[in-house]
Amino acid sequence: MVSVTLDRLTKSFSRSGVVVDQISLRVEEGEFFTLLGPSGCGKSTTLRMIAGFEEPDSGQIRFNDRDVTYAPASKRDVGLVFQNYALFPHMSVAKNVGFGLAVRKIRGAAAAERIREALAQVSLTQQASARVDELSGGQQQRVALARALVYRPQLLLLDEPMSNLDAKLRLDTRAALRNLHAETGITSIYVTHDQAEALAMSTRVAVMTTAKVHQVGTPAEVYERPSTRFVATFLGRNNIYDGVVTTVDGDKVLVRLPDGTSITGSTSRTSPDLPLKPGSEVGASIRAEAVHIASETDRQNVVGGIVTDVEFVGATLSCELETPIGPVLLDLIGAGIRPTRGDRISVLLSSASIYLVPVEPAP
Amino acid sequence: MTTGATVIGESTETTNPVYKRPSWFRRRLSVIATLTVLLVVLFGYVIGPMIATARRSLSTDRINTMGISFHAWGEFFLSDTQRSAIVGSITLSILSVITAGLLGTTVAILLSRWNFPGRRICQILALLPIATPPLMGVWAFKLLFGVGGRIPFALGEWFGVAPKDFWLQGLAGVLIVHTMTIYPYFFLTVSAALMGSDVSLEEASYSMGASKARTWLRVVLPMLTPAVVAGALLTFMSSMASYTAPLLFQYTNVMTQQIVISKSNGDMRLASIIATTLAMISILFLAVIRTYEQRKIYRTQSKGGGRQRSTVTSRLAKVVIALIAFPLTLFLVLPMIMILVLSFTAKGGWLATILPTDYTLQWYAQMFTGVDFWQPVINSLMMSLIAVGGAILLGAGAAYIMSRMKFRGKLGLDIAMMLPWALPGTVVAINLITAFSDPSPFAAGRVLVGTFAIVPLAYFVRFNPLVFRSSTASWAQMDPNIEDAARSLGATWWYTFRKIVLPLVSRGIMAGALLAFVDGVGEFVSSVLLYTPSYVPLSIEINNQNYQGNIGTGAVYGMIQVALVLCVLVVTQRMETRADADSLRTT
Repeated sequence: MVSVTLDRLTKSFSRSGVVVDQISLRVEEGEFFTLLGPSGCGKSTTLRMIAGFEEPDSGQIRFNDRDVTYAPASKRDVGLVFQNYALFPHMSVAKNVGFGLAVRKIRGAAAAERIREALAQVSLTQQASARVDELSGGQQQRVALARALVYRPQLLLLDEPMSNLDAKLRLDTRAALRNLHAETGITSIYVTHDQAEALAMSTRVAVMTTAKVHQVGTPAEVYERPSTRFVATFLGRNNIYDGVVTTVDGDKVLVRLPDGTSITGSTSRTSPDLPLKPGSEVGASIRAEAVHIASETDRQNVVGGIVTDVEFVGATLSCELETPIGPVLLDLIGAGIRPTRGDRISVLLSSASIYLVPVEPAP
Repeated sequence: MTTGATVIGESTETTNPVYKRPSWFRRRLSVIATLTVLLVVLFGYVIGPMIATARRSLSTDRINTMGISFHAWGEFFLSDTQRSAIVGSITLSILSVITAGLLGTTVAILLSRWNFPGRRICQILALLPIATPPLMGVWAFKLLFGVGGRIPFALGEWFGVAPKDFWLQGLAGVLIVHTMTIYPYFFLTVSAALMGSDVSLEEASYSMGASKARTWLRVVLPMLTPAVVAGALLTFMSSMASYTAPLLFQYTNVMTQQIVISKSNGDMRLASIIATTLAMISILFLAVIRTYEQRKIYRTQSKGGGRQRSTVTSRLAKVVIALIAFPLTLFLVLPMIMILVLSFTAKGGWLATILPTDYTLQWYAQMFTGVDFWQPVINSLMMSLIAVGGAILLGAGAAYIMSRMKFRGKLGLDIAMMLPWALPGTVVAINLITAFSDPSPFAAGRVLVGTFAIVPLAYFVRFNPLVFRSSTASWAQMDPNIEDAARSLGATWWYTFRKIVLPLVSRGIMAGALLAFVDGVGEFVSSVLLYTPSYVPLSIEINNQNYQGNIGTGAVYGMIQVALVLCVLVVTQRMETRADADSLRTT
């Protein structure tokens, strides 16, 4: 197993300009590390540079201490799973899986045994001699995984491997991938634009946009303590209200919104390096699931409004409220009060759930 | 704001090989090397000869290249014969577009919109003209419709009219050949458009209250426009290039004929002038076609069930459609039937009758007894094989580097590769004559004109675009990730190429190569200007035999060509079915 170090990695294309801008990060041995970001943020290009299909303009890629920046893809000893699987259409499932072994001159019984093991690992023993076009999308994806793991590479790279699967299958595959990682302990780098996948599977996540990494941290860290406004908006359903700090009293911060409403936050719940003195502009954010219906006794951080939209999504009831401070999204869990469109309700933006972020959009 | 996760240390020791950043030259070595080869071949055999012809057209001497003068160009544009030939070529092409367009579109609508008994057979037969050998096909037309032809004769027998009045000669003869050999362009493009058009658009039109007539006029026909225009451009180009039909119907008022006449008169300069003019017109049309191809073609956007053909239920309508479709189809395959009948007709066995009176197997017996009977077949097979071999190297090679490598000037290279496809066979032949009648570095310092090599070279130049195009298509279909996958699994470039790339694209390349091979076996136009008597290609032999009155022998050679074409069509069809199955697997 290896650790992977990216050192000020930069790549630009003549058409699209700089797609990866001075990215530095380190993936530890045995980690399941995710590059998360919207399409076009440079995450796939970063992965392709790690795999050896693109050459960076500058910067360095190291596996442990070994500089592999310009090593050919075939010499890197990585396993790669493509978004569209890229199975060899003229070969059987077993031949596909055995390709990496054949290249490494592992043949005969030894190869057959390894192929059998790999197929068993992804529960495809029955399909060994099938043509790859006879398989379903999910099965093809598992063949691709077996093919990338069979020769025991030191690093596994996954490029949006689930984006072609349907919702139900994705949940199953997530679990399967988690188990596989737990069993093999292989250092893995996973690229996705799906925040749910990233949060569910990773030991750590790097959130990227417009060629830059905004935050690296555990799923809980990036979700609960976003370091930039982009991270705050990209993960989950978040409400953000821009205002001006009026008073800082102990750890209590009072933010005055344009309509005159004041919202209380805390100095312990802000993005790092956020200037907090009277007059500084900040965004007060609160996640939809942290907004509750206000009780009679609530005084602070209460806003009233009219329900403009209700969406029943099973476990939760997602509502949208029109209020003086702007629209409020809230997710109600369980069978409490069920507002309907047009109802007038008051909600509590609990100061314990308010998180302060910078006002300016992503740099 | 960028947050590095961990402090980054400098690496000190490595046990593995160190890979340095390759130099600019090393990184581009493969592109530079392959491009150099490509450009040398393109320049030596395609662009260079074109320039040689243009240069020859400017010489002050009729036969040799001397000095520079525009004098001859002035004469060319003032000459009544030449001006008339330009107008003649264009008129013929426009007329061909109209007649072939009407026929092709009608047949396409008839055969793809209504279900009636026998539709499938008609559909297959309608494509048979593609398999008709070019030269023998035109001969068949001449014997059917020309002076003393069987159709006018039959009309005379049945209706008591004077057959003489129905002999098709000159322009009329050429036009009927063009109509009936070129209409498949329209038939194929319009059929494809009809099958691919979105039924829900028609349904939408009906649901908004439009009548059937209005729907056809306002929805269905406008959607066919791109297909019809594409067919028209192709038809125009191949009519401009047509040489065989004017030759056999003795219609000299076209540019291709004038090229050959000037060359026979020893005026290579005039031949070069006409060839250059014709080349420029063809290139202009190639440019128009390529621009038009960029535009959107209407395709179905709905998922699910394909087009439902309206089944004709009323008995009367069935009879009416069948009555139109069957004779029409029969008429279209008439030349093929004619060649077949001729190959069994004894000499003098078909004089004053509608059908032959005397049949024989003696022409086929020549296959086993005739001295040197197989020689022209072998010559043509060899010439085609050499040409196709070269075309696979150049065409498929160029397609590969153009689809996988990054470099500037790709569009220019693409145009240069496709250029000979637009050039008439006569022009290609004249270009090669002007370029290779003197010792040339591209012919190892030798003169190629008058040797065996010049004919395969002409085939190579003419049919390379076919291989290039089919290879480009199959490389475009292949997911580049598949190559990356093999590389990341540890395979070298060469291993990946052998085990992954070649098996996946070989069918597409072979499909183009087989088509090129078939075209080579039937090639007449440039052969007639370039062949040497020691190596007579098949089509030349057919022409010679027919002129000597051995039409039976010519017809047997024609049937051999038909057999070759059908073999190739069957093989290609099979490959396509399998390729379709393959392409499903990657999605």
